[in-house]
Formats: sequence, structure tokens, C-alpha cells
Amino acid sequence: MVSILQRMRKLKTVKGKSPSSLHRSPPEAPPAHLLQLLAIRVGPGAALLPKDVQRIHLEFASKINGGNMGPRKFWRHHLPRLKYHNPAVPMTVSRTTDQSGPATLTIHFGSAAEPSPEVDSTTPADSTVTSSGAADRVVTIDMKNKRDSEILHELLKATKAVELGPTEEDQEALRELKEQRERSARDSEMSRGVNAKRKREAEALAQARRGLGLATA
Amino acid sequence: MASTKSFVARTSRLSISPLARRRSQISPFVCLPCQQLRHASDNAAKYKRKDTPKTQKKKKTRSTFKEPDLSNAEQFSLCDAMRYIRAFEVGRPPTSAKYEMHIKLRTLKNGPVVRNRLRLPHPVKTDLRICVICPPDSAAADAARKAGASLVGEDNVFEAVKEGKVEFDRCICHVDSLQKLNKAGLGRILGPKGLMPSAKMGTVVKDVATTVRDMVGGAEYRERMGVVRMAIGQLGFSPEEMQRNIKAFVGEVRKDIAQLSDRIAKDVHEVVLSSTNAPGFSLNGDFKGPDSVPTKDLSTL
Repeated sequence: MVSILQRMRKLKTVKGKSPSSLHRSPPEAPPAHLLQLLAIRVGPGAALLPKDVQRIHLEFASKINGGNMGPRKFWRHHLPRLKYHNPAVPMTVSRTTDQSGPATLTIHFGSAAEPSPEVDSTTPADSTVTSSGAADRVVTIDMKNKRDSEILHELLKATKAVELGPTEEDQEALRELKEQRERSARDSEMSRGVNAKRKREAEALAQARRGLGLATA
Repeated sequence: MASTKSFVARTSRLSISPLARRRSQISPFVCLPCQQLRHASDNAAKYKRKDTPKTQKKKKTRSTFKEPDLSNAEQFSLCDAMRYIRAFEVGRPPTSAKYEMHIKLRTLKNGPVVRNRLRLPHPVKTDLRICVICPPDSAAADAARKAGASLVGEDNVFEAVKEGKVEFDRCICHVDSLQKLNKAGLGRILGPKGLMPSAKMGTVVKDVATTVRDMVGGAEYRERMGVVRMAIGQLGFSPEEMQRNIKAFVGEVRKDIAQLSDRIAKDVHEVVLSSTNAPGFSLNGDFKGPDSVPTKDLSTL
């Protein structure tokens, strides 16, 4: 097994950087290097869906050409955050082989009280998919040729979700991260100076030796 | 300049000449060892440089696997870990992604390894093809077929395997058929695949039917590099189901450790839950944390 420090560091460094989600994010959003778990808790997509949202379903092509890049990025970068904050809402993704097919996000709305009696935690359910409850209202968002942040914006608008800011602990972690980054920038600047100086001296020495060798020969 | 040079030369000559004269008078014994000494010290320095890394390397070999200090680790309750894993696995096909369990042991590098099968309370995968080697018209064969074996027989199985058709994932042999199996010489084909039945593996049995039944929902595990790994659940499992599976698995590993030998000290060091697409979460043994979400929320896709 990998050593514990490496494993913890991996948990604490961001796995796949998501530049698209972080460049076009509001100014209060966290910086590019997030802790891997912090990145799940904090960032664009960290929002609490209202209780009447029953299910979210994404459908798009498996490759990115034909305007399917935005949907994929939305799924990879924003959907985990949405899922973390709304664990009870089933979120499914089906990817088709037809590149020119539609790319849609479907939100199923239902009555708020409906889903709770349906799921019984005491009985071990064998089936993995139980989301066949009749939805009162279905909203479909076209994702084709849209950026991931636009898709998220439309989803939040359609569901009237409440965006969640970082908690105090998360803010603390973010501040620490920022300090770390500043320190590392400072250190790398310093060591770059030291290295350059060393290299210059070595070069001067080598030059002098060469000159001496030529003179003696 | 010239005057100083000549002066230096003169003084040096003046100073050297009596010394040289004296040395010539001294017997060569004094001189020789002095030179040899210098050579010896040079050689010693050379050997020293070569020697030092060797001794360091020797120190490095250790007989046990490393046991990292778990106080450095961030540990999670089962529900919290599952919440994160569900978030990492969002939108993945539920058939391909699975929960995995890694049990790190405190153990020797060269000792015996933990290796066994078990049947989880909630099986992870159920499409296992099992071959049973026993006389095709015996009672055991009927029972095996009923229990879910896909291939039953003796000679017909041997011939199929010899032709290269190995259409099963597990192989069990009845005790009475063991001699025939050994005579058939299938070890060359089945051995490398890990399918050759042997009493050591627990695949040569009298009661074929129960073994098949265990295998259908069962899974094998084995300690590699001090860690036992196994698929422990489907992604749709609720935390309660996962808890039952994890308890069964850890309990079984503990039982195996106890059975090994009195002299061999093994112990469970760390339990890690991960999944196909999520990082590993070290578990702290609790089911729920203080601010975990309700358990019924965690079983939705």
C-alpha cells in the first residue's frame, strides 16, 4: 500500500485541475489548487437543491466533438459537488454513441413528501435503481454547444437552488492553502536566484580555467 | 626580481643541502615505510568509499512491511466516506464501478499469507462460471448442477481443457476424482491460471454442492504485499448493507489470521474503503459521524 503521507497528500491535492470551472468563476470562488476533498465541498456547483427536485438526468455523446465538451466538463467538474451536497437526489448520466444527437439535462420535479416513504432503509434493497416515481413536472435544458459554467447557471436558475459558500473550516483550509502557495512562490524565487548565482560562478570559474589551460599550453 | 630569485634559490640550496646529506646517511629503512604508508592510506580511502554504501544498504533491508503512523492519517466514518465516494462516482455506470476494501496488516514480508474465500452477506457479482470435476452420473454431480455449476464431468472436462477451451472461472474437484485429475495432467494448462484444484486451496472437497453455493456468491481474497484487497459492494448499496459486508470481511480475515499459527503475529493495521474512481478513505471504525447525512440518502445513484 502506498505510504500514508503520500495518500493523504493525494487526498489533499486536486486530482484533475478544472481550469474551465475555475477561470470563469465568480471572484469569491476558491483558487485553482484545491484540496481534492475540498474541491468536492467548495466551488461552483456547491448548491443545495430544493426538496421538490426528484432526479437529474444528463444525456450526451461520449466524445467531445459536436458541442459535447461542455456537458462532459459539467459532469466531471460540477456534478460531483452537486451530488455531495444533495446525496439524496439521484443523478444519472447516459452517454450515447451518436455524436450529433441531442445533449440534454432533464430535471424531474415531484412533490416534496413523495420520495421519503418510498425508500425504506431497513429493508436491504437488491435493486440499485429505484427512481421510477412519477414526476409532476419535467424541465429540459439543452446543453449542446454550451460551456459547463453556463449549464450550471441554467440548472441553478431552473431549480432555484441555494448556492453554498465555504464554511468556516473550509475558509480556514483555503487560507492555509493560499499561504502555502505564496510561501512556495517566494521560496522558488529565492532558490532560483541562488541557483542562478551558483551557475554564474561556476561558469566564471570554468572560463578562467579554460583561459589558464590555453595560456599554459 | 632576479636578485630575489637567486637569493631564494641560494637559501633553499643552503637549507636543503645539509638535510639531503643527512638523509643519505640515514639507512633506507626509515624512508621506505614512510612511502609505503602513504600508498596504503590512499588505498584505504579508495576502499572506504566503496564500502560505506554497502553497509548502508544492508541496514535498509527489513523483514516487515512498513506500518505508517495512523495519527498522520485523516480517518472517516463509513457514512462520510460513502458520501464522498458517491460524489466522486456520480454518473458512472453502476455496473462497472464498485466499492473496494483494502485491509493493511502488520505482518512479516516472508511469512505465510492470508488467503481464503468468503461469501458476503450481499454478494457483489453473481455471474461466476464454475467447473466441477466429479463422475457425471453421481449424486454429487446432480447437486452441483443444482447449486449452479456450469460445467460438470470428468473426461469431457479434461478433453475440453486439453483442447484449450477453459470456459470457467473456478474449478472444484471431488475427492474421489482427484486421482483421475492428476493423471490427466492438466496442471500445465490450469496451473498458471490458478484454476488447478488442490487441497491447500480448499478446492478439493467432499461436499461439492455447498462449495459451489459458497462460490456463486463468494469471492476470493489474498494478501499481497501485506494488504488484502477485495471488491466489497455495488455502488447502489446502502450504508447498512456495506456495514454488514465490511464486518463479515474483516471478521473473516481476523479468523484466518487466528488460524494461521501461534508463532505468527499478524494484526489488522488499517482498513481503507475506496472505489473504482474515488480515492481511498481510511476508516475510523465508526458507522456515522456527528454530522453525517441520513443513511437512506446514500443509497441513491
